[in-house]
Amino acid sequence: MEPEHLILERLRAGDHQALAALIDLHKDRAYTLAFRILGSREEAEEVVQDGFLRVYRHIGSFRGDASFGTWLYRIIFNLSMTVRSRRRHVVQPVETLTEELSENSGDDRPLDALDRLEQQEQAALLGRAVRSLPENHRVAVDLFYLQEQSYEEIAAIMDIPLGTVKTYLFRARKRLKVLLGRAMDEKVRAA
Amino acid sequence: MTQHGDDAQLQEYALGALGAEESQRVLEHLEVCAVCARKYQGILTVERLLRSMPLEHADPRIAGRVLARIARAEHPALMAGRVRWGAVIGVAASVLGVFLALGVVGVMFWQQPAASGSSAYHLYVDRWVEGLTGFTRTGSSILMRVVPQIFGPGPLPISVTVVLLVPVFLLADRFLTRRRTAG
Repeated sequence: MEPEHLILERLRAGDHQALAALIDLHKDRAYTLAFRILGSREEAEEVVQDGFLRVYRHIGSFRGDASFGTWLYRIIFNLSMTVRSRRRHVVQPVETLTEELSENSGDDRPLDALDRLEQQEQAALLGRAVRSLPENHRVAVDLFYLQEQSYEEIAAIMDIPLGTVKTYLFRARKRLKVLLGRAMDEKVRAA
Repeated sequence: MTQHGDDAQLQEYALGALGAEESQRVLEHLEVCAVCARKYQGILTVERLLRSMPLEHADPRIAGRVLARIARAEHPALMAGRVRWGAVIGVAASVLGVFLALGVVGVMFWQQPAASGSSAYHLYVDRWVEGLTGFTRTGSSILMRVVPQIFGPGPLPISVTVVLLVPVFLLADRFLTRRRTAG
């Protein structure tokens, strides 16, 4: 596979096929980020298309200080937030943890039973739990685990301090542990 | 005895983000503390699940769509031929509408007054209906009456009037083309 920096050089020279190569490399990650924010496949695809169009038009301004992925995901994030802010109706998460979790919550239910579930069931439980996270936490989780961005890159994408990124991820992991523990309790009770 | 670590420290340990000395202290503590060991296992389980989260899959045709949008933006001339028929139909409909309006105006000023005894409402409706059905005739009659008065008799003034309508066609075509290729 051609190295990304060579693809970018060809793109700067106006090679449309270079853009197609970049789209194929990054489309799933970009689409996942947009879809997680917007919750709509149609809107996510529009945002991804608009994002790559912006990449094409402004490739000359990409200096390479950050990775191309970081630059792209920042564009996708900003476009998604713009689309979301224009909505009159905000998509609500399926469920939320209403109580505040202290830094050292005593909720340490073991999650051993999770390992006994089928992979698909595990993924479904996790997906539901992630969707119930506060938006900023959910986006930080996606950027870290799906788009594989570092803490610094996430801070640049979301335009927030590094410490805030760490806080979001810490609280997200903590909430997920509690939510998964409760989900397993419900499964055991229902069985 | 080593101290209990807080959740943040255990998370950082799970991610391999602690320094060597601190990591060693946490490891020694986990070996002797069942509470923290259970907590740590829970953190590892969540971490494993998060790292196995699947990506959503974008439509494989997305690259083609993006390139098509770029082509439309960069080569509007190629698209002009495609939109010209739409512009012609739009302009023709506009001209038809102008004649319709002229017909109505013509009815109001050139038709004979209705028989006495008709109410103003019926007068209006009659004229409107006559205008709608006879708009082409009335519009043409206006053209045949007004143009010679301005430009003189003969076929030349009529031709000039038609030619003067050409810029209207061109402006309408340009407007419609611009609307189609915008964005």
